[in-house]
Amino acid sequence: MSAPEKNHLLPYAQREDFHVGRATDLTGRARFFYRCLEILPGFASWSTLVGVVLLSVYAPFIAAYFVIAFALYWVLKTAFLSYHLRYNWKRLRHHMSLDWQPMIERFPYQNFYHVVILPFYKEPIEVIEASLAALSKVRYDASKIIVVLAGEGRAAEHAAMIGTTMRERYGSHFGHFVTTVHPKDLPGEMAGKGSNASYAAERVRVEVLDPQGIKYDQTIVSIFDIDTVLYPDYFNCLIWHYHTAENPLKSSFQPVPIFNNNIWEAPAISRVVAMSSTFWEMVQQERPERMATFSSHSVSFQALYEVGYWQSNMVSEDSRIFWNLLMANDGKYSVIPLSYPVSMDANAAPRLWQTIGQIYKQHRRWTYGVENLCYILYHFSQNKNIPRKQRITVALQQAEGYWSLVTNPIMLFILGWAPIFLGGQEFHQTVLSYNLPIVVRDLLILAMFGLVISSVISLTLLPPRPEKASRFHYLVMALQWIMVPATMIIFSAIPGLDAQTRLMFGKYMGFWVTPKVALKQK
Amino acid sequence: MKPIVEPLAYWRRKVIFITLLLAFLFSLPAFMFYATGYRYDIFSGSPSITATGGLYIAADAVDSSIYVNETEVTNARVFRNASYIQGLEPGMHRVHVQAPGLHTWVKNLSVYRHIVTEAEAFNLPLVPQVRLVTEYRTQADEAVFFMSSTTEEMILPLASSSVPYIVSTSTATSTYRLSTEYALLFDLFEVKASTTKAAEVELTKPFSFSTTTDAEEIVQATTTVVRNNVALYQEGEEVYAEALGTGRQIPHYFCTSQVEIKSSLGDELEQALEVKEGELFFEDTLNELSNNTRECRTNIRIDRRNQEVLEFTFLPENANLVLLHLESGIYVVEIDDRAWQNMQPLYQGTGIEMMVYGGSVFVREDGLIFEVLTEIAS
Repeated sequence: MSAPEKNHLLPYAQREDFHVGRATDLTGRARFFYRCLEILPGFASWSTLVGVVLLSVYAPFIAAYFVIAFALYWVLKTAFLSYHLRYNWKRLRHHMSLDWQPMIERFPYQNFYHVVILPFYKEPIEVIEASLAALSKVRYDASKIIVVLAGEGRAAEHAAMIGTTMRERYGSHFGHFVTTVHPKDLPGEMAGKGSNASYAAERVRVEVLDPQGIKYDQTIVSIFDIDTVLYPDYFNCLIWHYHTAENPLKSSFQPVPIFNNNIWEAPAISRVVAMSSTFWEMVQQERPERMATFSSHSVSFQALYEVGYWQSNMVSEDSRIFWNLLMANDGKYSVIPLSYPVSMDANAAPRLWQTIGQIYKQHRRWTYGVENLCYILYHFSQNKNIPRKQRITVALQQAEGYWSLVTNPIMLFILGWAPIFLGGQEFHQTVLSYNLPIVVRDLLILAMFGLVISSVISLTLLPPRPEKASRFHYLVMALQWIMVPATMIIFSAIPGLDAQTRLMFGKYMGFWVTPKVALKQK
Repeated sequence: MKPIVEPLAYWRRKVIFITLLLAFLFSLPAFMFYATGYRYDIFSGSPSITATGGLYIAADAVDSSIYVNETEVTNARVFRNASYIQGLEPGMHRVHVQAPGLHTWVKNLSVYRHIVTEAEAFNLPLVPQVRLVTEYRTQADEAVFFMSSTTEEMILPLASSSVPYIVSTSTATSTYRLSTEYALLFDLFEVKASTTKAAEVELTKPFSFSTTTDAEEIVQATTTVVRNNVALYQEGEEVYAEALGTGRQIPHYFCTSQVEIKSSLGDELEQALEVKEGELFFEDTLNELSNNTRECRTNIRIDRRNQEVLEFTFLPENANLVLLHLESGIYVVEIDDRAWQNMQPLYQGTGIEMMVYGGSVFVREDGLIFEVLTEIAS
């Protein structure tokens, strides 16, 4: 990007390394430093896991006490998170019950426009139509909504077909209906959602905002995964939060993604994993200082424009945009939780094994968000305008998050027993050795009460039961939470470790598009 | 106008966090002390913290009950076929393991603070359980026993058979088939008898039992049997068990831990490790346990009740129990000699022959071959 082209960017965003995606994008010492940062998460996780094994062999008594302490920590952490979850559930339901339209009347929102970007690749027309149908039914002035259906040049025919069909069906519903096709193999880009969305955002600026004289600071961009189904008051809720925000142009707005579009058709394992992801986002909604944007979110166009839109050379652009904005604004940027849902698809394929494979790959992609930790640490070392306390706090929070994601489930459910098997005869004959599995098991049973809360809340988030599904399904959906220890390891810890190991060895991942299919109702 | 339910206030989150942090800090020592074996006896006259130990009793018998100091244990943690009894005060404890129709296993076991004393109970049937191996079998594969009357007591008056067989008063065999198992066992008993006679003539020549199928068991000579790093050998009239392995390979009853030795030294060390002026020396305990090593013997003499040992080997699939063929019958004796060695009769009688083959114990008595079972068939 040439200097004049960068004039609209914030000063820090004009740096050559602002949009660094990986160490190979840099040179010299910066490259070496960034490479070390890429090694750090995987090294820390592997060191922890190997350390627990070594401790079990050479100091089993200390390992046993550590395991007990860790199990107790887990129980209390579960209680802590469950409290946040329950509170957000209460707030979410309250927000869903509110009539937001009268609440925004006092705000001058009539001049505001909403750009809705819907990037897609090869998703079937049913999935795309469901999203547009829901969008056309929102309780908001449709003339103020600019829909951007962003297809991929790698699937040009499909993109053209979808664009034409959807324009015919929904073009007249909205103020503007833009279809774009992101050219494939643009230099410096990685094929993925980020590059597609950025291309679409620039196209809508050039083709709609500038010609129509729509102000950037009065335009809110909402980027949704293509399977996102909006609830009717989404834009009203968004406008309310936007206008009550302390600094709306320095804020992103995060709804709660509930993966329940196809929840009645998806297998149990898919439901548990999907709901777990939702619950994690609900917990985060009550501690916004730890939040980054995730999946579908909204942000002012001006903020986006000031950082050059979403990063197009990396995988987890949905979270990276928040870190871009935080760095470019010298730490004065935040995420505002909406506590209002958007519905998305649970990961499901026609066959169970395909579903399991897809969930694994999807979570590996999500946990590859650890690449953001390198970005954060790198730019925290560069941008001294961000207060030191904020840099340290955020860095530790994010590092702990990625470390615990990978290590905690494995330590708790697998390595917790290591001292018993590796501790030697001297340890084996002690009361501590015999009591270790009993104490840990009892603590984990205690922690399972957190699952009861999850189970109850999940039932309240279900869409109406289809006629073909019996009431027995409710029982299954309540009991399915027993699988959580296994899903935590298989779909959280292991893909996380996989992702961190790849990054550690410089085996950079590309963007894997989760296949979306329209499942037949059972 | 704004939503009634406000976002969770930061101060509330902080209060909850601090509360849980305090809960962690205060309860963690309690969990660690509990796991190490410390118990607080609130109901005694003078409540105090004591360091306790435990017992781990393995018992294969179905429906067996465990008694410690004449009190049935009902709150034991069960690990498969074993029970873990914790919170026992250091000292000697008498353990009974009993079940209906089975011999009772009794042992005095020392419990040491922070240590779990392991023991393996065994309970043989009070009435020997046998399975007849007859020369002929029906087409439905039932054993056929020929005799002049059908009174069962006359076949094996001291035993019981839960495996069905047919008593035939006729000597006609045309409708039956020959039992290959009987033929094999008969031959084996004959070979063994002749070899034993030859051995008596030429005592110095060792022989190996070629029909032995247990891969773990190596019969080096008539006087040495090895299984799982434990050897049984005869020296003079005595039979000994010898631990051949090192470290974890040595069975626990060959060894005494340093903690056990220190415990037996008296009250001074006991007090130093437990409570001194109201303060728990947890670090000392950890150091002591961490540095704990085992002192192991290599030989244990097997109790033969002053009878001549005609033959000995391991009980099939068990390296802790010895099968002794004595003058008065066949017995099972445990190697574990803490307190005493439990001995239970498997099949009593004089003039009987014994053979272990294919993981089973076979006996030939008055020309009748049968398998002696170690448990009551369900």
